[in-house]
Amino acid sequence: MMRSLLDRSGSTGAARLRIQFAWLALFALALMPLPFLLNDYWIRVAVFVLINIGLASAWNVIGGFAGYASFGHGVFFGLGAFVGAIGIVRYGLPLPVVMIGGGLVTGVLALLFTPIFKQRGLYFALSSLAVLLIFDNVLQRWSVTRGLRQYDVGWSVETSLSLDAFYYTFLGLTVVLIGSVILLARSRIGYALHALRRDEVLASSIGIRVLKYKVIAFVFSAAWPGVLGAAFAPFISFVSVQSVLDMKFTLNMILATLFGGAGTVIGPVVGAIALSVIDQLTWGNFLEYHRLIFGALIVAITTFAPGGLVSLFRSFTRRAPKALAETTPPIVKIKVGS
Amino acid sequence: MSGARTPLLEVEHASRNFGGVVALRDVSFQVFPDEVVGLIGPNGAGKTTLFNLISGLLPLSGGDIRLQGQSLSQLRPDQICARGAVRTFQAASLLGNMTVWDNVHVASLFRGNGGRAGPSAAACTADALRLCEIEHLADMAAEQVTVGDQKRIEIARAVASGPRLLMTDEILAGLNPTDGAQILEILRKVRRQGISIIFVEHDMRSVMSLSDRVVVIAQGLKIADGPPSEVARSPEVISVYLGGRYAQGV
Repeated sequence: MMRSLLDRSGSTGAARLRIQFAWLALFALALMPLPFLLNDYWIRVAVFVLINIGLASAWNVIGGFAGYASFGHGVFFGLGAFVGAIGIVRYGLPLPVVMIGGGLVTGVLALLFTPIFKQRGLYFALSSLAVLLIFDNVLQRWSVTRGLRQYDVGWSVETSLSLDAFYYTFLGLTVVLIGSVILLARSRIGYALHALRRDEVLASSIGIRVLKYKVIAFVFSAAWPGVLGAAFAPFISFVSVQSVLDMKFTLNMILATLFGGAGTVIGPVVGAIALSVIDQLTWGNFLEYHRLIFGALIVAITTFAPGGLVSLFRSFTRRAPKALAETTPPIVKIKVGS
Repeated sequence: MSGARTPLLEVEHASRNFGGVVALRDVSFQVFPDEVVGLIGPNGAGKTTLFNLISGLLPLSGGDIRLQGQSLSQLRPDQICARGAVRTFQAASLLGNMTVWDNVHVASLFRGNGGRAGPSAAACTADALRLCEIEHLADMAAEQVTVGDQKRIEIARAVASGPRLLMTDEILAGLNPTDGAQILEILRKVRRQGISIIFVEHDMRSVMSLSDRVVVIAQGLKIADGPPSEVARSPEVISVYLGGRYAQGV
């Protein structure tokens, strides 16, 4: 019995992993032909959707899996963009090198945030927001980040890469990022994060060093925006504090994660795609009411389906067994009621 | 039971104050290998505070607590768990959205903080589920199981951590007599695996039937420590906790 239980659990875990990677491969394959089917405008939109998926998936590790809502996460994307811009323009480094550099810089920088993990809930969220404001101020005034010339306010990044090349770069990054999140979620780290999100006292009582795993999650979720930011620099051609440290990047990460389903691998992917579609539709058809419709939809989802679209979908699929229960023979119903 | 053996756990003059309130005052007792110690006392006596001190969730205000001769006073809860002192909680703390298997497996993965040689984490999980007779629930969502099974998951998770000492905090609370008897049987099996138990419970029949020794605390002070039959006849224990009716029934 024990042996069969052991085998079953092992095969179930491996099977789940295989299914998740099969879906990921399907996702990548489905998106591969898009540059052949879309015009430049829609390819640019698709790149932004991929960036949003990547950023939301990275934020989800600390905000969803660990349950620590970071409101300053845009810092890491912005810093990554500066690493990309400065690396390419000043040092002539190739894109893959600046992407790795962006991830390393933001990953190491994230370690400096360790002290704020003694705070929780609202206090942690406010501290992380304060960090964003500090970086915004420092980067605006620091000569290194302003550009090469005295009067620059940012970095102009010229690139020979085509739009298609950027599309495939971001598609590749997003797929690898989601793959790494899948592996993390099924690892000891994933188990630790799940436990500490539910109950830190319980987590520590079963042998989990809570602070260590919170920092691991934070470094992971900071390094990936650094990589994406570095690749974003040549894509948008001009990197300044206003263009890459905008609060909207942080908000998009949070909204997409909550909209899709925090703490799940698929949630941020679904959320980022759904929000991007809604965004495009409202911009295109209801320009004057764009914010109203966008805001109302977010409020509706977070109110009526706090677990996001994924939980909404699951609640529909779970209704099937209840419907079966309706067909229970009357005699059983009488017994239960009496 | 204790004889001249080396104690597994030594609580020495343990004290804990919350501001001006003294929750525990100068409490000392020992737990020996393979021993089940019942820890009883009225509500607010300091039993859970004592568990929190042993498991590192609260710092001591005075005294010391040692496991296998090593002081626990400067260790974090995860380090204390890794040394082998593991506890359950009064309210079953299950990890929602996780299966029963995962709820237990998370403890196996961090057994000895992952550094202890031995069987694989999956084997430990399977063993713990089998010991607690919940292997058939492995793939079920933990939040869907009955209260009795939730308690079994709590014990299985604690056992999966590889304890030398298991501390159960009112594990029988909210259970019907049948479930309660089954949990007691599981604890007997745990003990047969060489795991010592500190058993906090209000149900005196269960305490008396499971425990080798009973420690009684009231208002933060230890008032008795001895074999169950002896403690049950102690006038002070009868006066403070058991009451005359119980004493007549012994």
